[in-house]
Amino acid sequence: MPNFELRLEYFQGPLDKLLGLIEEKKMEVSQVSLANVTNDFLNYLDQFKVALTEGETDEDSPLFDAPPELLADFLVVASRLLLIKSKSLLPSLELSAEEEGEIKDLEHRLALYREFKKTQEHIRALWSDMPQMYAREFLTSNEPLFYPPSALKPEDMLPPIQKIVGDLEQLFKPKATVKNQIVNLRVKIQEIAARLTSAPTTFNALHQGKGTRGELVVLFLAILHLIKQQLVQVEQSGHFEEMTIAKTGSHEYNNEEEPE
Amino acid sequence: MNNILAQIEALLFYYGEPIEIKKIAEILKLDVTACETALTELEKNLAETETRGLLLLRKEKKVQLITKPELKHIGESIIKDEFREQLTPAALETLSLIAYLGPVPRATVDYIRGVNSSFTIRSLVMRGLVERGDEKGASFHYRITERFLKHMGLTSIEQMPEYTKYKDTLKQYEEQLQKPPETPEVHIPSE
Repeated sequence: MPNFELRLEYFQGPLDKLLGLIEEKKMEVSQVSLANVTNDFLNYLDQFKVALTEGETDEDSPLFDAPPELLADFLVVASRLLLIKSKSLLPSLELSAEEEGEIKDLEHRLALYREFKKTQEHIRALWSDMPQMYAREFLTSNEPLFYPPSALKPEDMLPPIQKIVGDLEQLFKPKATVKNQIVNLRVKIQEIAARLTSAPTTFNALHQGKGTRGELVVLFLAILHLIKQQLVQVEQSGHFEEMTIAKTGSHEYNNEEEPE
Repeated sequence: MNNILAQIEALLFYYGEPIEIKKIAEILKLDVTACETALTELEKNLAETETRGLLLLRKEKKVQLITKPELKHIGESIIKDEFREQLTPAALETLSLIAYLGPVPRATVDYIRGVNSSFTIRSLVMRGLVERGDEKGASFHYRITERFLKHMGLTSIEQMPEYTKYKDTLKQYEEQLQKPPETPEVHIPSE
């Protein structure tokens, strides 16, 4: 339910409604008058529609789309009114001390509310949407200036600025070093071609179990390139098995041929 | 220039914001009583002299120079509509209780209104019309601000119509009721 709090601002509270009903009948606040308006109050409450799920609102409905919080406040008052009404219909009805207290409390609050409702008129009468008086702000006439202490020497400025620079360095210090080494494919091909002999060697031996993932990829590309040039022969007995690599013939790697 | 009134006026003009009377006394090296007397005289001078455009605004122990409500058109022609503050029914009701009963805990406002007022009070605080005072026991006591007085055109909250009458109303009602209601005691400020 979006904006229910904003709508809350425009709803009358239960005491306001109750007082309105009593005053319509030109009655005083008493248990008699409260019993008298109970039906009207419940009828009003009937018009409440609490939208518990979003999108449940019906534009044509005459019902109020009331915030549940407000409904709760109304229900508290309604339950006390029903108690008063019951008592007025059944004078023999015995009420507990707590119930008596609740009835007294409602009567009391309503009388108090009626008193304080009058103060709203005073505020309404004096209130102006625009301020009627204007004041200055703190030290308005004091322009913001830099007033260094008279004993300040230029060399006093050095330690603080060093500290600031130090802090900034800390701030901008790389958190993790990302090594971005560029491995040149052509260099790698030359290196591999030079190391290979007609005696077979394994891929892992060439890789020597070190270097980054990038180097591994470049090594593999280099070997693929050498295969393409038919300079090496590669055997692999099955998927993910060790590859053996051997030089074929006595051809030397042609430096001029660019790897693609 | 030795006149205390002139000194206070100059100080208030320069300072701008509401300033504590005690602080004025400190700055001008006066005692607080002499300061109070001079302020009352300045307040009277300003209010009663037609050739003056200012008034003395008082809130609790603070004072501030402020333009007369009769001259509001000058301010209105300079500042624009963003200062416009309209009151919803709930805001009006809550504001009137805080104005007449403040500093007052939220529980008392809720009790008299019969509705939970936390949202309305929060919105009034955000609009600068109400402020949270000292924490008393478990709850804050709310009171109106200088900004509220500026919208009302009053130089102190005591100038609200029938202020003392309503200030006493709650107390009287509580005495009438044998069993005290579930409202916390109402704080009556000492001054």
